[in-house]
Amino acid sequence: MRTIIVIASSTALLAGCGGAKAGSGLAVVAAENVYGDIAQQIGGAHVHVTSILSDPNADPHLFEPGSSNALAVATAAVVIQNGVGYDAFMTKLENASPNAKRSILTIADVLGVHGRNANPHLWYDVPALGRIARAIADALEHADPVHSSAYRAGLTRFDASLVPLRREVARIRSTFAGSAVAYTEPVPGYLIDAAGLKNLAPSSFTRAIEDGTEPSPQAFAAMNALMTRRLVKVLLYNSQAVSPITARVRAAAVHAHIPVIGVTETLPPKRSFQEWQLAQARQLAAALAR
Amino acid sequence: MFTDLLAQHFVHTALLAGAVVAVVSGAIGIFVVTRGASFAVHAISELGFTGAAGALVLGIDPVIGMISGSLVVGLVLGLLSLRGRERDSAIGAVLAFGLGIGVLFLSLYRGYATQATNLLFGSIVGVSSRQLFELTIVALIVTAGLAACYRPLLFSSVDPEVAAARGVPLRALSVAIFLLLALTTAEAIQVVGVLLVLTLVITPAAAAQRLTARPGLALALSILVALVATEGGILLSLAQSWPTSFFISAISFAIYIAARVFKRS
Repeated sequence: MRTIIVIASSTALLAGCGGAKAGSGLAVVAAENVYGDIAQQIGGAHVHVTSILSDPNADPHLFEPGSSNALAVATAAVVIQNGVGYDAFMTKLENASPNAKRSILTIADVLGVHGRNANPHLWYDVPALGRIARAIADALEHADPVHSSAYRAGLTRFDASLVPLRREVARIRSTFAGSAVAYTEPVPGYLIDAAGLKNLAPSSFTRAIEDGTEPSPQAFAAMNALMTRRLVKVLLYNSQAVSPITARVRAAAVHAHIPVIGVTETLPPKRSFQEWQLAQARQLAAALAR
Repeated sequence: MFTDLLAQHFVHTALLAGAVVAVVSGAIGIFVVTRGASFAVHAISELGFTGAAGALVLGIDPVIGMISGSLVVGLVLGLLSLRGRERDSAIGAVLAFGLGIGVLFLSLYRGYATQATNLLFGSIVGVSSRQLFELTIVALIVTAGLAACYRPLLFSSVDPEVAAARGVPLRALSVAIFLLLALTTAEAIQVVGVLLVLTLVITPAAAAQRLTARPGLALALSILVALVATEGGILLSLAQSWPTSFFISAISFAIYIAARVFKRS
């Protein structure tokens, strides 16, 4: 039970907005730094991006916003959020500072992802990244039409930079389609689908981990058996929300010589979104080839 | 930064919501602490979560589930109408069973529970005007309830044996106070979070009781301490970007310690 309130740190400016003075440019607030990074790449010097969830060592489900986050949302021209319950704190911050002129972009709405069972880790959906980037560029352009051509150019540049990632995912699909893998949490779920892989981890296990509750003994046994009986080729391990239970699954995988890949929900510092996703996809390909 | 923040709508709402929660928590806290039922605040706030999980399974609004869950627990604790040592262990037993049910509900629910349980983790900087309005309505109901049975409530809290001998309906009053506490807790958690509810119901009342034996004065002091802690905590968290919950609990605790030291000397 999550009664202990874990408080995350204050907002951090994204690496890469170098030189931009605080307050200059279009004020953009991204709930997750993955979207903040994309907005920064598309907007360049014309935007001033603040990302709220930016610590890859903190569990986003335990995040509680502080006054600096509330101030960022109150003064933003554009807000980008994931939706489907992943960043429900954003709705609270927006309602606490009503502003008709602020535009709010919800990625889940862009992709038409709804319902209580939806996997919220939308930025792992490689085939949808083009649509996400276009929606972000549209939002920037709408809020700041003067720099429209810069945002269009930024979008084209960003889209082109996705080619290696798309190629890597296509390569995994053509070589390893149908291969069985398992994840401790559905973080890379959309990537697994796009790469044509099959997740065997029981949802009763992964959902309990995602919700921070205890999986039933049956769920844990089923998950563990995937490792000890070597039924999967790779274990994708969410290194951002670890528990004694996921650590035991990880140990079982290592013991059975199943390659373990760490995946995070939040973009690690000093990396671009594309570099990070490409590195993870390459690790996955390398592990599958073992 | 500090002056920027003071001009923000969300800061004004936070200060107002904080004041409302402080007044009602400080007031009800006196009755809760006098009864030695601080642990019940913890039980009710935890078991609101079980109610919300049950609502998820039934497919209804988790907020309704949380309020109903809190009221059911308040009713059970009130009916048990416990005294002394027995009260402590009985609240513990109810809490443990309630948490067990909550775990079962969560495992029965097919879907990501985080989506709905997020509702339970209020934040003082994320209070909307509508929430402030709802909070004020609940606060008025609770205050009216406390005012209506002020004398018998106090009598039965301070000296239950004598009160019973004089024909004060102990059980009915016990149910009333726990229901009012449940209502306060369920509404305030969504707005300010679990930690602040615990802090504001228990600590100011405990400090006030250290300072005076006169019930009316203790009530006023308790409300004052809760107000100082809440408004001071919010303002400090604007100046120094640490969590508001920390500052509010720290100020309450400092006053509590000061009250203990002062009383001893």
